[in-house]
Amino acid sequence: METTRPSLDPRVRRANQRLALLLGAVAVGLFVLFIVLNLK
Amino acid sequence: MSIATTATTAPHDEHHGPARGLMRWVTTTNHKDIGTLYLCFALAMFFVGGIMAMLIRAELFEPGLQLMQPTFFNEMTTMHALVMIFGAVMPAFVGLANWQIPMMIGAPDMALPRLNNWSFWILPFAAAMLLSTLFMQGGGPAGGWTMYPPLMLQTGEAFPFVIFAVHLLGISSVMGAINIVVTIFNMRAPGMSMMKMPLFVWTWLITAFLLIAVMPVLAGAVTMLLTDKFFDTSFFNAAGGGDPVMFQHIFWFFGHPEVYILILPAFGIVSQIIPTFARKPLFGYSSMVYATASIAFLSFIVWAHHMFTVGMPLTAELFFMYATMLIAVPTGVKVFNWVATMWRGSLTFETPMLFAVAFVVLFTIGGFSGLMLAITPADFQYHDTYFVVAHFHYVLVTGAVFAIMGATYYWLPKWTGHMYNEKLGKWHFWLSVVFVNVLFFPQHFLGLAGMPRRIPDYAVQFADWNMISTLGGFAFGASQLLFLYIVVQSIRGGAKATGRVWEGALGLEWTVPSPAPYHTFREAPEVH
Repeated sequence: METTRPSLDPRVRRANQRLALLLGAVAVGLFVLFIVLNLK
Repeated sequence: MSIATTATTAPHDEHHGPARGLMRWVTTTNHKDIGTLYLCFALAMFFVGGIMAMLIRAELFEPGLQLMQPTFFNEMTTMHALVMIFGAVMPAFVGLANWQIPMMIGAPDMALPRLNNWSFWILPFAAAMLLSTLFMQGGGPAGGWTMYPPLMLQTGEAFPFVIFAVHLLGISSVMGAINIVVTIFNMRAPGMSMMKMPLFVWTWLITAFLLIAVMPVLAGAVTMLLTDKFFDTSFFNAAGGGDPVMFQHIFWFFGHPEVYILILPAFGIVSQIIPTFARKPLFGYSSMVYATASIAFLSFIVWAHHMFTVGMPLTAELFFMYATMLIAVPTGVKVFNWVATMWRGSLTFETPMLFAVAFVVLFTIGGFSGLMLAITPADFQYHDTYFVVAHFHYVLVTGAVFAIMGATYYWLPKWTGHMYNEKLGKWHFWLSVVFVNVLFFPQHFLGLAGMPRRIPDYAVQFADWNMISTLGGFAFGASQLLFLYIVVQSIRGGAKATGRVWEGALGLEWTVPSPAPYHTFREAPEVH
C-alpha cells in the first residue's frame, strides 16, 4: 500500500518543493521570454 | 563510481506490496510503477510509430505512387517523427530514469511522487489527441515534425489539437525533468557525492536541465504559431512584418538540444553496461562527466547548422560550422573511454553488451555523417536529402533505441526477478543489427545521389537501393516482435535472477533483491 512509503523528513520535503517551484518558474519564465522577445 | 555496501530494504516488504487492480496504475505514486507505465507506453508508441515507418517504406518500395496519396505520406512522415521522439524515445528514457535513478542513488522514491504520477498520465491523453488528428477534417499535420510556417499553417482542423498535444507533451517532459533534478540534488544517500554518482544518473541530470531550458522554447514557438493562425498576429507572417525564418531559429534553438536529450541518457546507459561486461571500472569517469556537460553546453550554440540553406551571413555559417565540429571533441572522448574500458577487460557478450558495442560502432557512424553535414558547403548538397535521414536514424535508432533495448535487457532481471531468454535475446540483437544496416545504410547512397526526403515518389535511378532499404525495414520491424515476446516471457516467468544479476555489476541497484522490492531504501544505504 502507498501508506507504507517511508515519509520524508519535512525539511527535505520543503527543500524539494522549493527547488521544484524554482525550476518551474524558470521554465515558465523562458516560455514568456521567448514570446516577448518576438513582440515588436 | 560508487561502491555499494549495505542493502537496506524495508523489512517485511512482502507484506506491503502494491494495491491491486487497475486503480493501482492510475493512482500510483511509486517510482517503479510509474517507470513501468512509462516503459509500456513507450513500447506501445514504438510499435505505432513503427507501423507508420512501415507504411512509408512500403510506399517507397518502388517508384510511383502505390499505396497512398502524397498528403497521407506527408502525414505519416510527420507523425512517425512526433510519435517516435515524444511518444517512444523520450518516455522510454523517463521510464528508465524512474526505475533506476532512485535505486542508483539510494533514495526511497522520486522526490515529488504525485507530480510523477501526473507527468505520466498527461502522456496517454496527449498522444491520443495527437493520433486522433489523423481522422480529422483535412487530415493530420503534414508539414514535418519541425512544423515550419507557412506550411504548418495550412493544416486543417487538426492544427490547434496538434499544438495542444505538443504543449501537453512538453509540460509532461518539464515536470518529469524537474522531478529528476530535485531527486538527484536532494535525495542522494549519505556518502553519494556528485562525483560518485553512476554515469546514467549524471547524464540524466544534465538531460533534465536541457529539458527545462528548451521545452518552454518549443512551447513558445508553437504558441506563436497558434496566435498567427487564430489571433491575426504576424510573428512568422512576412506579409504582416513577421519572419518565417525566425520560427526556424526558435525551433532549432529547441531542436538541437532536443537531439542531445534523446542521446545523453543513451550515453549513460552504455557507460553502465560496458564496465559491467568488461569487468573493469569505467575508464575516465570524470572526463565522461565533463564531456557530457560540454556536449550539453555546445548544443545551445549550434542550432543554425540545421538551416544553412536559408541564406545566412557567411560569418554565421562559419561560426555554426566550427561550433558543430567542436562537438566531435567531447563525443570522441566518450567513444575513446568506452573503447578503453573494454581494452584488456574480461569481456563477455551477453545481449546488453552486444547492444552496447553495436551502439559504440553504429552511433559513431551517425556521428561521422553528422560531421559531414556540419561542413557548410557540403551541407548545401546534402540538405533535405536521404543522407540526412540516414544520419539521424543512425543516431536515433542504432544510438538511442539500441541503448534503450540494451538497458531493457540489462535491468529486466532486476525489474521482473527473472532472467530473459539469452538465446532469443542474441537472436533479437543479430536480426536487429543486420537489418537496421540494410534499412539505413543504403539511404546514405540515395542521399548522396540526390534523392530528396519527404517525397512519396522518386526517379527510377533510386529504385534499387530503395527496394533494399524497404526489405531491411520490414525485417527490422518484424525483429522487434521478438523483443516484445522476450520481454513478456521474462515478465511471466523464467530462471530466477539473483540480486546482483551480472557478475561484474557494481552499484546500489544490484544490492537489493531481484525483483526489486516495492519500496527500497526505507533507510538510506551507506556509500563509501
